[in-house]
Amino acid sequence: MRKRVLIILGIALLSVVLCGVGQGFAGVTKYKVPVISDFSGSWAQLFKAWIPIHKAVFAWWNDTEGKKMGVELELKHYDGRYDSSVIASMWPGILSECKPIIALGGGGADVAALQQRLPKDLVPVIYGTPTYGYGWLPDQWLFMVRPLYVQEWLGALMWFINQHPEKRPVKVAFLSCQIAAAMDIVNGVEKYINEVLEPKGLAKLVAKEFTDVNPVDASSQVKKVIDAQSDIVLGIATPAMASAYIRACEMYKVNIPTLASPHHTIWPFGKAMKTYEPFEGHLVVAAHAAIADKSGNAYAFFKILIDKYGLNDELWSPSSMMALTQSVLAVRAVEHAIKKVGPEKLSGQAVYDAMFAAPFTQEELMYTLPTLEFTKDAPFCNKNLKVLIETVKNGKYVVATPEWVPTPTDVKKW
Amino acid sequence: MISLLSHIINGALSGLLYALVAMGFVIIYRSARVFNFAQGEVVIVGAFLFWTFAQYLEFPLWLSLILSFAISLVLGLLIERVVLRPLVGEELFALVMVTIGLLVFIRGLVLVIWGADVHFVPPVFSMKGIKLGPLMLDRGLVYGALMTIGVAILFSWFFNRTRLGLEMTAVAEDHRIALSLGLKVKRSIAVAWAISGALCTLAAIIFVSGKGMTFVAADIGLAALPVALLAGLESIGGLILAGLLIGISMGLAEHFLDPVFQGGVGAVLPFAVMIIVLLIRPTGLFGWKTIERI
Amino acid sequence: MTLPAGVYAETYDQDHALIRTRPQWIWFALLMIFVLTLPLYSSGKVTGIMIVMWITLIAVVGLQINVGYAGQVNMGQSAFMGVGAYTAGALSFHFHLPIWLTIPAAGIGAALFGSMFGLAAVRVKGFYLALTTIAAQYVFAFIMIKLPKAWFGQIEGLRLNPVSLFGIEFDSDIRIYYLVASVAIIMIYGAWGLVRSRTGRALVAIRDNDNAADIIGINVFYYKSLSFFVGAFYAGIAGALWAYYIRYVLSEMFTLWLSVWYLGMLIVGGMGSILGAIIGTVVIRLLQEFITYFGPWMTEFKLLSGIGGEIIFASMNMLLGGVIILFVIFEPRGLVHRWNIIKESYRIWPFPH
Repeated sequence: MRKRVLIILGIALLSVVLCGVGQGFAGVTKYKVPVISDFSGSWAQLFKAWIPIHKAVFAWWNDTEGKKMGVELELKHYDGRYDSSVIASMWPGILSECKPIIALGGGGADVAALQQRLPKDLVPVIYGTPTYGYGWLPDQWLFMVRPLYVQEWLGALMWFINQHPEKRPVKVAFLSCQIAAAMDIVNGVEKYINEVLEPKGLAKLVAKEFTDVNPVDASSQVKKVIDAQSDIVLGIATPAMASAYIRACEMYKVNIPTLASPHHTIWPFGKAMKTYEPFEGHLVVAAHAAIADKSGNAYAFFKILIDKYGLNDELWSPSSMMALTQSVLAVRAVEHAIKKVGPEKLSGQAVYDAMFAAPFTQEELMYTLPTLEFTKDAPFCNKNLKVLIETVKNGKYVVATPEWVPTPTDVKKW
Repeated sequence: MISLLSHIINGALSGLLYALVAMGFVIIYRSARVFNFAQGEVVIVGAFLFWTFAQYLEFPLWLSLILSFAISLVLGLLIERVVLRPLVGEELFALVMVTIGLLVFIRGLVLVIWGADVHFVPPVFSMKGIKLGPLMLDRGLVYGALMTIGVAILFSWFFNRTRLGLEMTAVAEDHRIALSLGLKVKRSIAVAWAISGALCTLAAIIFVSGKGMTFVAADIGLAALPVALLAGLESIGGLILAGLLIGISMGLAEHFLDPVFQGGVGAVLPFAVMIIVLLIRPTGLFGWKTIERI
Repeated sequence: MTLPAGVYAETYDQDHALIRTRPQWIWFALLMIFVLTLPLYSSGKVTGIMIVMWITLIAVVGLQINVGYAGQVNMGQSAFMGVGAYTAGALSFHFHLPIWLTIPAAGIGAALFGSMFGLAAVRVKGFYLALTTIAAQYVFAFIMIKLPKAWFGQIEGLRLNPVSLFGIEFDSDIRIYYLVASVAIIMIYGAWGLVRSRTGRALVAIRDNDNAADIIGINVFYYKSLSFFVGAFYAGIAGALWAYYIRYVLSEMFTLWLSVWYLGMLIVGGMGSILGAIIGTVVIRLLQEFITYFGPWMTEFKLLSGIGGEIIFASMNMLLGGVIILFVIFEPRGLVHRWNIIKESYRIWPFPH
């Protein structure tokens, strides 16, 4: 018994030593990049796809640009459980353990936990999710690859208005629930419609309905939307609401198109129902490359990651795109910083300054995003915003706008 | 006017669906004097089971239905045997906590087995609506409501007229006295849990047929609590009335108050009603136990 | 409780005392030194974990007074924390009051909110009370979102600047640690005092049989409301400290699940004793941190990579639920019971326990 214990201890000791030794082979400057993930919280499902994408993109960069510049970025994933308390208690440890020059964020929970303290901690954090109105503050150390949901949706709305065969104000309806985030988007769009579009006779808000987050039945609300002869419905933010909406539409034998973000409606339902038919004519919009388009440059980049860095084709989805764009921006940000201060002197401050110093071109971002130019008045790129719109046509999920569509530039805070 | 009517009718139908879920609560409480907080989770297990058979394995509809009912029946029995049998006679707080623990546990189990994605459940009832004047009603909900009323009448009769039902009622009054009279307490409790499991699946199928769902749908269990309370935790017939009341008031709240408060009133109203009921008349409309008061 | 051999009380004060013998004083002093110097030599990660643990401790101790000592089921503790957090946040944000005012004010605010539900406790018991407090969670969430933006920030939440006391600004973790630890130590000391006093005995009497308590002259109405008042007061203080630590208050951070976790900590630790609350909090939080720490590490393994993170999340749920169920069935008096048995058998060794 004693001998066995000794042998086990010996092996353990040996492995610890070997691990330590393995770390010693450098030659490049290594930096650790913490990633606030969610392994055991409410969005773990999403992050399961994100983690391999982060790793693949960073591995790709290490092998290409990183090698040329003598820098290696090492990812370290942390489980934030999508819970601000956990993230808040973890962050001091992350700071001391990684001394990060840049970090990848998860979503609303870490924004809540970290936003206030980042200017003092001097760590820029990159996010792949779109921004909510309450994130629109100046002088932030957070960077979102996508602009506000409101701006994206308004871009699509403007396109829809221009496309509309009849020349009359487009009737817009909201179908929302009481989740803070959804309400935020609805308020923003409503303000824009009332202040800008209605005076110009372009659009009109005709119905504003609310359902439960998990509605048993939404047919009363949908009936009101139908009676108001709405042309398009905005605000559906959960799968349950989308289900209830489609069900009600089928019952009343109408098909009023909805507008949402790709990960809200068409994609998850297409996967679940194995058909896109109920969503014929509905729209989704995002300020990144189109998922429906597998022939574009963004997919070509993804293909490289599939072939050489272990990703698989099934991962190509709206949520993966968020991880993809986030990682690509992060590596390019580090790259810009290296060009300014050199590979040895990277710091959070250096990367932060590099974010504003020069725009990130579409080519650099591997065509997953349009050209981004960050300024200090907002955590997202507030200039030359462009979006891509996808829809379902003849049962197929296709891109509605092959070229980037500009969004309105006069969106004010609400 | 029409939309008000629509809200009222749809509210009533939804309320009856909640009453069906609440029936599961009441049947367990009536026999075992345990309040099963995990009811919503059992509902969702029923729904996912049905999904597994109907959509994933693509069994024919009738087979999926039978299998789902059967397995949820067994699940009810299993919960009773493993978790609650050891706690017979324990104090109230232990029972409360154990069902809460069960709630968390089953939610985890559901997530492990089925994941958090959207699952689409094939429709059991035809998707065509039922026309009522200018309104279209969800066929599934209407059938569900009719089934709820039917089941309520059935169980009312069962508990008040048949021997087994009366035995179960007696067990609910006091376990020890029932034991001393020679009634089979363990069997009564087991039967109650089994029936409750099956009822949950019925409710689940009505709720999710033809819709996409995720595990969040289990919140229906918490939303059905006020209905059970309003009816009084022992009355099955009273559930119909309670369900209608709560459903209609939710519909009215949605119609009148949601625009004012920007949504969310419909969801919180049942809880507000529940608090009021608890303060004014804790035994609900038709319950028979008196809660000890100070 | 049996005292070690040779220890007996000669005055009332000695009888009351928490710490009676010299070895106990020494252990206590060592613990205090350990706890108070922790942030100085440990990594930032540990400091962060400990700060959250202190805050949770305050809330759970309050819950213990409410649930363990007075026997009133309370599933709304995190809503009460939320009320405290909003109160402290709003007072700091709008009126810039100093924290020695806002923290007690937050406690009082939460206590007032809590005693509204305490009034319900006077009428109903057991399951019904649990339902009422669950309703408190939903009502809280609803109210906080609907109140005007100028008051509580609605969906945007409140953003706070670092607070300061007598010129010391609490903007680094170490300073926040000391603030939180000192408040927690004061509150726990107060709790111990409360439960050994006449009030504490009244609460226990009510827990055991409220009718009998009424008959012998204890004012049940008053003490039941008081138990909720105190429990929510603690929650409010915890919430205020939370607000100052995270510097962002949003009602969605205070969920029903958090309340369930707190109750789970009570069950694991043992109901009916402050020490139980402490043990339960420490054990469960360490368990949570353990899973958080090992989660990413486990997915690194090729073997287990098929399992994926969401299984771990679900397993956390299963773990909590399973732990609660197992403890209720097999160890209803919690870990503190085990601890007491160990202490006893140590003290009366070599006699068997």
